[in-house]
Amino acid sequence: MDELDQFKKQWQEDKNFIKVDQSDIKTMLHKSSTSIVKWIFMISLIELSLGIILSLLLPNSNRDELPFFHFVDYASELVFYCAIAYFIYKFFKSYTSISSTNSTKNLLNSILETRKHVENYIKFNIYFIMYSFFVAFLELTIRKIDLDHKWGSNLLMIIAFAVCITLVAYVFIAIFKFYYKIVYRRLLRKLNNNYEELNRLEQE
Amino acid sequence: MNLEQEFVILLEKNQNIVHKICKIYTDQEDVHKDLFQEITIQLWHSYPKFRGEAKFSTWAYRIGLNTAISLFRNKKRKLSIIPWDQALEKISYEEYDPQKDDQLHYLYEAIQHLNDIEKALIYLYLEDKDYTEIAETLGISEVNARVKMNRTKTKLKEILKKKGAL
Repeated sequence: MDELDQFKKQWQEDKNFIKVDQSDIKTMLHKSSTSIVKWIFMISLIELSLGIILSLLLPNSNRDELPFFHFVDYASELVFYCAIAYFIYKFFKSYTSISSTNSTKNLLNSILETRKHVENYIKFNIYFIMYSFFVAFLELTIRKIDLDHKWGSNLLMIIAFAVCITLVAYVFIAIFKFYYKIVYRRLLRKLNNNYEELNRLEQE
Repeated sequence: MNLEQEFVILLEKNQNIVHKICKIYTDQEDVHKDLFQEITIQLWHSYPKFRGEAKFSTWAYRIGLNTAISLFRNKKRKLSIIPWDQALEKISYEEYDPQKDDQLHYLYEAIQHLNDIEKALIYLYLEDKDYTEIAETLGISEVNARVKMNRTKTKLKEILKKKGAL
């Protein structure tokens, strides 16, 4: 007989709990859930809409002069909106698959996957902003290069632009990392730990 | 009888299942109440889907553990909690005495040293669930459930021995 079996019997007979009556339960039913999933959903919706707002702030080039960039702008916009639609679709598809009746591992997996789609969406936005800055930089450089000037001053101008672009990209990534650390570290730590624990079990 | 009334009666009858989950996932009384409420809400949300499909208890184990392991967000930091004043609580809750049974008290205390997954395993063991159900609830293979269960039981016994309860 297992040494723990002596506890089992006592455990099963244990009724020493706060008694919750029917009216307590009814009150609870009408309160709203404060689950992690609800929080993740609300934060994700804000992030998804933020991405769309950011897209309106992308630098616009002067399309009158260079037809090539005119084409690049339209192609980029098309890719951008297709990608947004894809991420939003994946997010909602994954969100609707979250169910507390699934096994623990599946539940953890679907919550973390839903979160991952929003994270990828934000990453995509950052890369897209960087790409837009790069295209704007390229166009500006081509327009501003003065062939009459010496190459030295042109090169200096290109380096100055490149440094600016790098700095802007660096700031964006730093903000992104800081934001994730603040918002998600506490919210997801428990989920990640438990998911890793279950995965470790399967790998042993 | 409407759906809500049906659910309320079932949960009232089976409330100890939920209380035990709350008790192993927290040793703070106010968190216990919050977790109980969240489990109740989760059970209620999925009740129309469950209705009559399995035993209420089997279904409640799964949702209760899932809520404790994955969904519940503990808003209270342990250090900021003011110790629960039992004298005050007795006004609304009768005959509550966590130290009534010393051996059980040691068991609950020892379980607090386990991680979330180990707690779920021990809970299902103490509720006398077989390995097929344990594996299905957690979403792992039966073999792994067995291996992990043995390790967790050993760990629990060591803690109990240190506390002088074994």
